[in-house]
Amino acid sequence: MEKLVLQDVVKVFKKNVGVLGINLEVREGEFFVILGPSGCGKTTSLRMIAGLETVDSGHIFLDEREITNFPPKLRNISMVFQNYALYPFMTVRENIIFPLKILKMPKSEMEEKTEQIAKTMGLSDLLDRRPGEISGGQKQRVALARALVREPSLFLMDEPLSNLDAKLRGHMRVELKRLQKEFNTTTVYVTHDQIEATTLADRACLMNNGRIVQMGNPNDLYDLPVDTFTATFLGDPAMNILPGELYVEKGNTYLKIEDYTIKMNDIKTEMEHPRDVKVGIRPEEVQLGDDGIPVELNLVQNLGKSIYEYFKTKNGETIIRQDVVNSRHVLGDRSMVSVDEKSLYLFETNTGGLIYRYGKKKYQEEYLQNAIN
Amino acid sequence: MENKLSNKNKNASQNSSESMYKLNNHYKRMRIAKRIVSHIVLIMFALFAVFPIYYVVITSLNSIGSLAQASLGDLIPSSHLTLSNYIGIIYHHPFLLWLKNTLILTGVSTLVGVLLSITSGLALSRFNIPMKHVLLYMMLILTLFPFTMMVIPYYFMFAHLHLLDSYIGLIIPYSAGALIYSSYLIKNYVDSLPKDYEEAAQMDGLSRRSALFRILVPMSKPVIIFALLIAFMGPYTDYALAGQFITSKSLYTMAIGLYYVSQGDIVINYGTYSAFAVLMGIPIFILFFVFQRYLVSGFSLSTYK
Ligand SMILES: Nc1ncnc2c1ncn2[C@@H]1O[C@H](COP(=O)(O)OP(=O)(O)OP(=O)(O)O)[C@@H](O)[C@H]1O
Ligand SMILES: [Mg+2]
Repeated sequence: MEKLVLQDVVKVFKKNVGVLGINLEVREGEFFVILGPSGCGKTTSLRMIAGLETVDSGHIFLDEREITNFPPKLRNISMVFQNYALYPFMTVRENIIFPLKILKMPKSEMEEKTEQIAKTMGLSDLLDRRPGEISGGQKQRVALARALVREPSLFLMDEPLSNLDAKLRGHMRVELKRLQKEFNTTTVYVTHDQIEATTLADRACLMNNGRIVQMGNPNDLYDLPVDTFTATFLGDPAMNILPGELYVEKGNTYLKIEDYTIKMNDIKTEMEHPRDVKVGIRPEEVQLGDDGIPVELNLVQNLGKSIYEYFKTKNGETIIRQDVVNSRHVLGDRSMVSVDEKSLYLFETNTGGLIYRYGKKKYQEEYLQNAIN
Repeated sequence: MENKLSNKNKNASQNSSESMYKLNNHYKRMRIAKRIVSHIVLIMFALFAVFPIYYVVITSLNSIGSLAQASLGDLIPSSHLTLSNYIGIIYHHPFLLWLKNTLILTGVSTLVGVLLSITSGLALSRFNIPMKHVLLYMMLILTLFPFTMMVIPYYFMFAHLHLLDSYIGLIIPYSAGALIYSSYLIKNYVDSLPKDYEEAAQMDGLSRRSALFRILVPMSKPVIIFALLIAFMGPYTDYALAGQFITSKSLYTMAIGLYYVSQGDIVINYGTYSAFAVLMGIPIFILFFVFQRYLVSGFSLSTYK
């Protein structure tokens, strides 16, 4: 069942565009992640769902009721802010009980619920402290408790982990996922961190410049990016993108990258003229071999459990290769990057749209159709 | 050869360590000297600040008829000290009535003034008011005019309204007195509070207005207490306006009373004057003492960020 629906939601700020018409559907009980680079409109989208920002055009539905112009207090949505926004003049207990007090719940019930959630969150010992007297991770948990205690219809989070140190962040990721499964509250979670997206999301959408670029299971976004933006945004280090040329000779299709040419057995086309394309290769798929694009090792970055090798091609393009073992390569070493049609992505040069991925004919047919005409 | 070299090295290092030691000591002495100089300067300023208070207190305990009879020797506490000035004020004059009048006037106008400055401060900080900048500049310019300048126009205004010689006639201008400055102060303080708090409260189920009052007002406690003290000081010590407006003796404030009792037949009665000043000063002293913690943070705009 659709829990939350956004239809062509637009927000325009005076000088810059916030959100340019987004459509999305979040299902009951789902952990939905909005992912995207800084300034792409994630926070704006979330705030419109919360009712903290007005909607210029479009519609928002929650539980099949239109809430587009409802004030926040009537939406039954709760939200965790990036800086937690715990009321500094209240104790932890008063903070957690605050939403229940507003609901005018009977006293005994309020206290019971507060104790209950404090126990779930491991906050029982901190209830009488003030927010100024607890750590960042504890504040985070108080903020979650305050948001969840009244059992909201929808739960929003805007980069809730970004103020924590790396270790705590990893811990809280696990914790968040556990809590969400336990409470089974439909959640919309905003982040620019792809690891959070892949670890937390049931489904995710990727935004860029106020639009949703792609939506789906995080693994699908990684495996089958619709364009170079998704392809380079997901994955660390980012996918290598090189200019290439696609041409047909005697019924066979070939891909030429710099001086190196490979035969693309998977592409059948009658294209007359050669076409410029962008070739994408994931750093973890880059193989060195006897035959391929000639490169020179330029820089090595050691990350402990893996290394990144930065190669430079003859034309000055950079190819990053990820390796798990400590390789014996020395700066200045020359070698060949071998290219396998099974690990390649081809993208349209102008739009960046995906045109080829091994085994996925749909994209290639659409594109090549256009290319012939 | 090697030996010589190492010796030389040793010498050099010894030399340098010795000179380093000297330099280090030099900085230490400099630091002490700086501290002494700054203490002397500070003590001098403190003396300038404290002396008048001492002067008033000691004079209030002496029974000098007039300034002409005063001598430097009176500044030294002696066995002549007496409470007769205080007794005179409290038993021979309706001091308690004046105190009551002053506290009613000051209390009501402080509360009204600060409540208004809280609402206007919140509005100026959080709402989109057209021409807000112009409004703020105008407000700032208005604070530059001294209060005493308003006495004559106020007199005509309130005479027309038949509000002279009444509580209400003073409460209205008193409430307005610190209003502009306090609104501005509260606006600046609230500006420094992140919007997240009131938004979190809205998500928790409050309306926008309740969120402002129930979350931002408690968070602005330091600046509000500061505003209360400022609002209190003006009416409490005012003579210019009260002296013109009030004619019935039953409505006298302390400031008018002070003038009234210290007025001798020919000369000003300094002993009584000083004793009255001390009595008037005690409540202010207590207030500042109790709230000094907030005064500092009210000034420094230290917030929860
Ligand atoms: N109140 C505002 N007034 C004007 N422009 C705004 C306002 N809020 C956001 N914007 C603009 O709208 C765009 C989207 O902002 P938004 O805060 O939604 O980005 P974001 O995806 O959350 O970025 P980040 O990851 O940095 O938080 C940005 O270009 C931003 O400058
Ligand atoms: Mg944001």
